[in-house]
Amino acid sequence: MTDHDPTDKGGGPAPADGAIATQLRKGVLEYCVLALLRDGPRYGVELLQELGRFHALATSQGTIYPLLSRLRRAGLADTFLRDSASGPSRRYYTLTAEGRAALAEFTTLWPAFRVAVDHVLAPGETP
Amino acid sequence: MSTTHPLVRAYLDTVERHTAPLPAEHRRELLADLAEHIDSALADTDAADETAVRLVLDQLGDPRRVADAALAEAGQPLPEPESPGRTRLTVLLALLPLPLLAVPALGPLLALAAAGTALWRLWKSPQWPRPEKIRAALFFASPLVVLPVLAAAFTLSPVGLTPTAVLAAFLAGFALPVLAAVRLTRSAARLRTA
Repeated sequence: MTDHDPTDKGGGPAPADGAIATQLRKGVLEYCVLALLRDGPRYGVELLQELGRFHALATSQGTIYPLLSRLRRAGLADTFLRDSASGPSRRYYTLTAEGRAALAEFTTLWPAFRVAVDHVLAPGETP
Repeated sequence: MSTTHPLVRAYLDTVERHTAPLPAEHRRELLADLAEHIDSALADTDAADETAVRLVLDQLGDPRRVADAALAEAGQPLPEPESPGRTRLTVLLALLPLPLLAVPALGPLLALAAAGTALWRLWKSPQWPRPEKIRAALFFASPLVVLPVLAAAFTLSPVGLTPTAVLAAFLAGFALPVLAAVRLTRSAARLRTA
């Protein structure tokens, strides 16, 4: 990671809703969602608020629900209902053991991936 | 419940319309998730007035994009619209077999050719989801069952198989194919204007 504030909403030089950004997000978003559940269950709105803090990951909120649904069907996440003080009971998402394993694998692979891409992209460094 | 708010209804209806290819359970779950999100997001704000509803829906994003994301997650190809001309030809060919039967001598052959071409075009078209195609094909093929049954009924009834009865049977047999044609045309037009 660079020393930029990852929560910077100012936006980088490129828009976060272009085709390239969308393509990039496709591969990593589900692992970011798994990572956000690492420290405990979160309900949908909470998860989305957390994700929304990162400009590069932000996507229209509604598109996360199909993703969450797939994670649940794939056995990587689970849901349960919990009463809330301020309104209707909420559906919480939580990591399963399989989800934790998938996240661990991604966490192991990611640094090498990031370094490789940075390396290839850096001017004059391509072999 | 916020889901009774007209703006919320319209939003969920749009998502529902554009997720027809999804398995029913996926679709129900998606709509329930979205409704729950809206309720829960509104409960987190102070007032559930029109402005708050608009803001929550705005943050959820374009309902078409949400629907497309759901189709993509489920591995369903996104439906692509076809031109009104192509759609009309497909629907017209599907309606032709019954009238063509009235053509002397060549009738059955022409009817078979039209039916075959229509089914092929229907099946290959990217603009209708598979369940809709199957339903339409069954409706188009319904005269194969409806006509013999009506003919038998008329023959056994005191009316007998009079020319009027034959005409009535033909018209009745035409009802389901016409219904299918109207529905296909409508959903195709909706996809084009969406």
